[in-house]
Amino acid sequence: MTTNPTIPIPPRDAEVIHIACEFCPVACRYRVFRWPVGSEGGPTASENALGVDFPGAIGQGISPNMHNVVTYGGKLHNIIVQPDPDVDVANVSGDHSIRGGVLARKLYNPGTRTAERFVTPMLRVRGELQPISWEAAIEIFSRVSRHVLDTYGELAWGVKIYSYQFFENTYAISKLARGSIGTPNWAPHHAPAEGDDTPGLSDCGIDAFNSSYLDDKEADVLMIIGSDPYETKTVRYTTWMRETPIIQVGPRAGFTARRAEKNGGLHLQLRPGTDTALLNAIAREIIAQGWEDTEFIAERVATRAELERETHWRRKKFALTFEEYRDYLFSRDEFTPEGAEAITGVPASKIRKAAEMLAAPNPDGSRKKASIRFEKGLYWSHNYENTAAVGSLGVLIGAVGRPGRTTSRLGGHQRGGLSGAGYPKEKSPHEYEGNKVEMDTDRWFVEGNTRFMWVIGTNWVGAMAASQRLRRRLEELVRRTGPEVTSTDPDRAVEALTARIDAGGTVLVHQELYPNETTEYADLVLAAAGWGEETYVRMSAERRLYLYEKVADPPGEALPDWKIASMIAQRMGFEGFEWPDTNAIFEEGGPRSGGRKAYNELVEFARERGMRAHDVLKGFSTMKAAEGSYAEAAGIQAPVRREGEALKGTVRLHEDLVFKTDSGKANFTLPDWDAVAERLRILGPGPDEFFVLNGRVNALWNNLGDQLRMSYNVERWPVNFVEISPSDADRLGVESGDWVRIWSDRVVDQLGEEMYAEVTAVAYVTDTVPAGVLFTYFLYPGQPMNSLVPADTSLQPLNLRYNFKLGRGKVEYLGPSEWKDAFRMSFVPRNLV
Amino acid sequence: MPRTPDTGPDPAERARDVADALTPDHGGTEVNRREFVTLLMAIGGGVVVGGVGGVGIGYWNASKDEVTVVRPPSEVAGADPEMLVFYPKVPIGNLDELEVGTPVMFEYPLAGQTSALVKLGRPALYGVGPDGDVVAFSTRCSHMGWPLDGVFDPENCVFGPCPGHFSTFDATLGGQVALGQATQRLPQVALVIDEEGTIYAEGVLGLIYGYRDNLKDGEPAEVTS
Repeated sequence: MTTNPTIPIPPRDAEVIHIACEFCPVACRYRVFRWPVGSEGGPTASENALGVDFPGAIGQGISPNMHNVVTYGGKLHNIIVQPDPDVDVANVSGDHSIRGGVLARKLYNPGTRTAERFVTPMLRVRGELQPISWEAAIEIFSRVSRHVLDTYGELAWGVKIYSYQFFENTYAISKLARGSIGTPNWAPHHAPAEGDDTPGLSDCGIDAFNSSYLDDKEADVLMIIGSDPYETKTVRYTTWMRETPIIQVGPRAGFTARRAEKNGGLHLQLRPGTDTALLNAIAREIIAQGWEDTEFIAERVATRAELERETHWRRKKFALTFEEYRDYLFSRDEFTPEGAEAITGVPASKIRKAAEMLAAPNPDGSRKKASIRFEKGLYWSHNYENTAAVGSLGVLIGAVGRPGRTTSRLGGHQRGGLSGAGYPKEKSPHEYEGNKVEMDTDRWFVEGNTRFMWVIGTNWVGAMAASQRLRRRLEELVRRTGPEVTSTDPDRAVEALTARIDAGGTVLVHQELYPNETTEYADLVLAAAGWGEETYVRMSAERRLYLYEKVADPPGEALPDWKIASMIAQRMGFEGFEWPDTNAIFEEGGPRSGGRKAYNELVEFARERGMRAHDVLKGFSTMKAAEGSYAEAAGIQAPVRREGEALKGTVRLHEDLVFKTDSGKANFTLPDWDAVAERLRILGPGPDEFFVLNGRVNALWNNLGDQLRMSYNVERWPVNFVEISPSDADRLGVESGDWVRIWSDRVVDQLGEEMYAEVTAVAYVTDTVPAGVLFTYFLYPGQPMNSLVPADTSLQPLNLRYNFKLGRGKVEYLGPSEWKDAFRMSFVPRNLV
Repeated sequence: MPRTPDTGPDPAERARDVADALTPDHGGTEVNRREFVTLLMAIGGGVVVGGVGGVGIGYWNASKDEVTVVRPPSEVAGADPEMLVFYPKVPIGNLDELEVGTPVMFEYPLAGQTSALVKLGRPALYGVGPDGDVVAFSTRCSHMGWPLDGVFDPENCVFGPCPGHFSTFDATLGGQVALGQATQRLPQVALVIDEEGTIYAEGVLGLIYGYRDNLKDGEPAEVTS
């Protein structure tokens, strides 16, 4: 950390730029002050751009980590990246998380560890990555791609991509890959296949991001499943959820759970993977008490006759009427409170209490305003059944489309991912009961079918399940097949790479900001520009579209992802990629932005006035909810609509109680406990094994490209940790700060075979986890806990998603670590309330 | 408004002597915290020199009668190299008066900069006293400045959770953020103890919330001890 205890104050004439955070889905709003180095503002409000008399009061301070010196327009500038104290949505009054509070430090400054950014394209020559020109890099990429497409077809040409990235980038890349090239070998950063992350909820007719943060506050009670929002959506918790009684559902007793119990809420500490049984039991208890929303069910839930007319195969198979859902719940003893207690470990009394909190009428007979929120702890264990259970519970209590009454995802990251071309599912080689499902690209790769792989903005190796199998296949297919590249000359490089491909190998291109494990296998590295280095659009978990203005120049020769895609497409002879800037892409994407992302009205509005669409969106940056409406403040909530001469946002979806089904009515979806129980039988831990859960902690974000280059994060989390309960620690002779190894010889890999995998971590002994359960960070560099996660998607054939939250393994003490007694890494409880 | 320490050389004169003695090792603003603390703690009567522009920082080693300038005022336009200020060395309490786990409030170095002096009962990073367990921290949360007065947890030796946004700081580890939202440690007040058990504050590690410089935009705190 910087110990120089001073920070420069922006002078009155500093430029002000508006941007939102790069990291979590809350997308807090920030303002950037930018001014040339060499001047500073003064300490009184009239002498500085902050309008603050120093010392500043609560919320007016600037942390040293909010300052940086960057290059803009080729010249050195000071920047202060400050949570915007003027906004009254998202981070009201300038609240910020530990992630967003250091955004300034994310930007390139060669005096810091950002010097490790990729600054040129590079080609691996005799094992070393050598800088080459963009011209050479694009030529090699294009010619090798052409060879693969002509010889092996588009299924052999794959893309692994950040799905959350800025609209303009994902639009350009998907237009090239899914449109011009037409490959179904395309998967987002978090799954082996394209497709819906919450299919059971979708099959109820409910959009996954239908609510606003406002609903968290307006709710009388909030049920949160499979997420600790204080850790992972911090400002949404501190600003919008803090006063609402919370029913926290999850195996860990973290901060949110502990605080809920002290503030009129509950913690339902279920055994991992038993969510469906718990939610079904709560639903059954609600019906048993007559607390369901009978009016909503009668008017807006589909009848059997209506369900018979549904056309989607999954809904035809699993959609239920209220009576069918009720009969299913009452046909099984597992869903009595006592039956569910035996499965989930949650006391029957708490199950009854949760039902009462969610659905018992108020004394005056009115309905409670109950909302349900969930995230990966729920849908990345038993993807279909758990999301069917949560959607059905939401329908049962009418928690849809009304203030304080919504059932919605919390989000893992922001909502980018504008598509430039539809996913060509008809070409997928994978299906379920004769119905095409999106292609399992990891399995396809492990089977040796992918000859060219373009990995963009993700650490593919560490992020996917059975990571060590993926790594081994990369070693075999990239490093040990065919001749090596011996020259940066494009002709000779293309010759060597195509020879490898023809020998059955794979060529890997990695487009990134920083090197990570995947880069170790890259033949070609494409240096990308990131957040703050180009002007972009993206939206938050409440669908708020923001303009992210450019703050600084990208380092060296690094280029924005859209630009790289445009150069490749043009070199390969495809048309429609000649954009001058990101605004042109944003405008072109308007007509393709349907559903919750729809913003074409904004584009039309701009066109009618001879304006740029980015500039129209920028006009919303400084608007306040207090002066207009919640939907048009700091940005605008999609879908964007027209009302007369004004653009209007959408606070919540389904307000008309019309749902995403053929009939427009909602329905229940079978929350099939038998399917869950069978999967748990295959994947559950044995008698001497632990559940190895993984997830996030507050300070850390995804592959840690930024975070582990900031000293205060390295001090706090110098290596990966594993939470272990005091009783397990006693039994194993492990104390906080000791190294342990976590291993399993029963990791089910992409092909369904069991393999051995092992990772190490430093023990963090805490009552946050119960006995028999471990928790660790999911993507710590070099310690890929996803190695212990099963990767066989035939275990979830309806929708190819990994059971990330169902890892298992054994633990063994190795010895004390350097951090045990060294005053360097804190081991104090992180769930103190 | 320069202030002088209770002991030590004339700061302006000292700074002139060393202004061009800057070494490349200490030329940047990214000074390692450990290095900073080692310097500060290893030398009796160590001081920090701050320029009026808020940019000149150095250490005076009393035993060697030397000042090491980490960042001279000449680096930053507008800073006056003639005008330097020191963290004062002021008594803030006595070891005999401290009870384990019970913080004692004081202000340092400026009035309104509230801090808590506490004997933790277990060794701490930069702790002083015979047990190495006496520490002091700013009680303005480094996240958004909410007061941490009254939220010290003696069992876990943490300040917090902050009533504002729940940040929790480990007092045994230099104010490391154990959980929460702050983007820097809780600023720690550097302490020394003399033979009589009198505890002196003599510097602050980290920027106190709301300030652009811990030594600016306020009046010196009254010496109460």
